[in-house]
Amino acid sequence: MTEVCWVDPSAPDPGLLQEAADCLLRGGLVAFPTESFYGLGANAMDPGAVTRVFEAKGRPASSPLLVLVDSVTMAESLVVEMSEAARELMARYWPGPLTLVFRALPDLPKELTAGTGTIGVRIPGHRVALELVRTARVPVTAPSANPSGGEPPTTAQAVLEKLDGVIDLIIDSGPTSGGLPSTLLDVTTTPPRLIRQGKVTLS
Amino acid sequence: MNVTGVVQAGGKATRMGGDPKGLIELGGKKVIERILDALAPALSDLLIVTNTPELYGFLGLPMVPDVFPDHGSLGGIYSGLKTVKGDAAFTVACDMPFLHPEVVRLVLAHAGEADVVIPKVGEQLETMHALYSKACLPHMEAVLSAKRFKIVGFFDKVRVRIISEDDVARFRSPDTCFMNVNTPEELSRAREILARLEHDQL
Repeated sequence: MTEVCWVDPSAPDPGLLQEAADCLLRGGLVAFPTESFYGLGANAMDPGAVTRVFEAKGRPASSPLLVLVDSVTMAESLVVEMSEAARELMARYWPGPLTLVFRALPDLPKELTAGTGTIGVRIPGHRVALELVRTARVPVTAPSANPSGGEPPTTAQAVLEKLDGVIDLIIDSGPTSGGLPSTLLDVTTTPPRLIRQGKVTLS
Repeated sequence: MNVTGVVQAGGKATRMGGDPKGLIELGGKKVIERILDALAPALSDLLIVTNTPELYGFLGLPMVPDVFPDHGSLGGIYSGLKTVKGDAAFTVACDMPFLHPEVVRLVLAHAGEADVVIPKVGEQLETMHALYSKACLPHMEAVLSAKRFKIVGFFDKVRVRIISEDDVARFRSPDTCFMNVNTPEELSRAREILARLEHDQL
């Protein structure tokens, strides 16, 4: 049974966020709003929870998951190195829909990196998403909260229709804007390389 | 405007040894199958240009030979365009794994406005992701018979409509969309891009 709780995006209730964070820390799956669609969150440091993300989506665990962090410090805890160029990009675009792909520390769950040796990281621009990560104090996965191959959801109702009984909790903060997901930029190379054009257009 | 999608699977050996480029497996699918997946939503009529039909018969699509082998890509484009029953051919190479249906549609949307509809990225005209109308045929012939093989060699004789890279970028990074897989390095980069593209990460 999937629980749905309303969290006001303009004034997120800390108690409700704590419940959602506790759910994540117990290995649960929590759908939550991002700048584009509803995402499917799991504690990125918990291999079992990450595996559940793939199962919920019905997708083979052959491709990596990006993670949301609450700070540059949390991002640093995941990656081998951060170039000056990457730091400038973070300063300019974070929080926001620019995901930077770094070399991953080798001890991250292999389910997360899917053997690529890299990890995509960003601080989300949606207040509820950011407060959730901040409350949980762990990096949180963010694939779209829908079965693989389907339409990504912009409402809690759309998440519930597809994933009821499969995930633990949906944070309903009203409709998200949809459109493009985050821009993906590989900063393991010099100069950085655009992998996917998304919401942020780099100048 | 009646347009046929034409995949150029002519070409010779690859720089990767073994399989022709279109038959390389990428994420559980052959590159040419990925190309057809991208074309099919936008084009109901498809054609393969190849001099090795035994390799591509499994696709179940009509095939014609490249009547100008050893004349570079222009020979293949000409062969396909000459064959199509409609008004124009939308031509792609067989080694472009990241074509996007919406970018294909973007080019097709301007069919009828010019004889060539073609994206331009930087200074590069994407000649292997372009629409050529039948009006191009005599000019292609002239260039081919003069033994000049540059595809753009006849562009000054026809009307050319450019699609800007910004328009392409609305759907996919042009570098990715028009990427060729020619070398082992490019193949490994393609695998990495695929991993990132295929997961629906927000």
